[in-house]
Amino acid sequence: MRRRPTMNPQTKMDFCVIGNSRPPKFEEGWRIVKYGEEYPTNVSSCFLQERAVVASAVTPFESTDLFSIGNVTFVTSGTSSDMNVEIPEIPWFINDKTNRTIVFNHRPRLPQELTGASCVYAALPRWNIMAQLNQAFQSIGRFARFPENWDSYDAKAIDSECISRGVSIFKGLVKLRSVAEVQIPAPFVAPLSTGGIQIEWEEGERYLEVSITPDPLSVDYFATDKAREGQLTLEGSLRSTSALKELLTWFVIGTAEDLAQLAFEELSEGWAF
Amino acid sequence: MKIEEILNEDELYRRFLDVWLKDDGSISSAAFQNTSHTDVMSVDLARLTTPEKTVSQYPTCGVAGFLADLARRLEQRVLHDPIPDNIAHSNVKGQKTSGTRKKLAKGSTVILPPPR
Repeated sequence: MRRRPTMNPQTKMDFCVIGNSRPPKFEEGWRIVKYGEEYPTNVSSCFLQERAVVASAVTPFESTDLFSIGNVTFVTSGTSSDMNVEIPEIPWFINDKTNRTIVFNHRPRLPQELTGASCVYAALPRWNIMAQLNQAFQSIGRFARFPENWDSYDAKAIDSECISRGVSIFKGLVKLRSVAEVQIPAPFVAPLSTGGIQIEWEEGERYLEVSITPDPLSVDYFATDKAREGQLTLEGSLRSTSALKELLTWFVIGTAEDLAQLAFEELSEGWAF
Repeated sequence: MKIEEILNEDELYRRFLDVWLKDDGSISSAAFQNTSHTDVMSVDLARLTTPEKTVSQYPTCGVAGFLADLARRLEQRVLHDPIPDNIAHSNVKGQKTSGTRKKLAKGSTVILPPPR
């Protein structure tokens, strides 16, 4: 997906930059850039609506779609000049009525054909998401573009709600990584023929799976381990980050017997992800 | 078309994509789902086809193989169900829980890897 920016007639710049001030703890090499495909007629009012969309520590590549068409915000590396922007090779979007998310693992540079560009430093992610997690994010992006029958067995296209929920779970995972006392491994992510997404962790006989399925939307877990008594399994609905944390803690440091002791409080309504 | 009896020792072929192939060479259980809103998973009866034929119309797919016996031990019915353009077509019929799918994945081998 390539977007060619056009000049903002008010600023006479090829693109405008979001972020008003240099943060106190600036990390060299990162900027927040707003990148436009086409500006609506009433540019000034649109620009008044702009607000900084800063990649946070937990959502390094999230943005909100402020214009009606064609604008994305992303974090870019300034390791070369300001004059080269390269749109990431595999950007992807999850759209609902109000939000647009872009996920990619490239650090784009500013394009050669753009001149007069300026960048304002903005807040930065506190850390770079680990490469494997980034890869998993990108996998979900690929799934979002799968057409019907992508598996050759009449698979459904991957449901956008499942993708959104999957991204939420991933955000929860990233948060957990920052607070958990154990090192949570990056999962394997797979599309489901029913239009859902499956997230897996596996180590030897120990296996944890979270599946997000549509019609109706549900998030379920399946955990199994080999104990002295035989294979233990636990399955059910997953409704909170704390339950996911317990499962992951079991996966990383628990015993098979611990699996049998896990019990989660069911939320009466809604999701905590 | 003649309906074949599928023996326990018969091998079944299931197409799968590279998105289901893990770095350690194992296959995700996600590759062993029933077709949406059905209780059947399509496979090919190996003795009536070849791995290459199984993917001939689907160049992005690889082929996984597992024994009919494995599916039957997981309370699945394995039935030959030839269709006009594929006499090897068969069904693995039955509810596939996460545990069932995981066991099918563990009991499968990569016959033909998908192109990467």
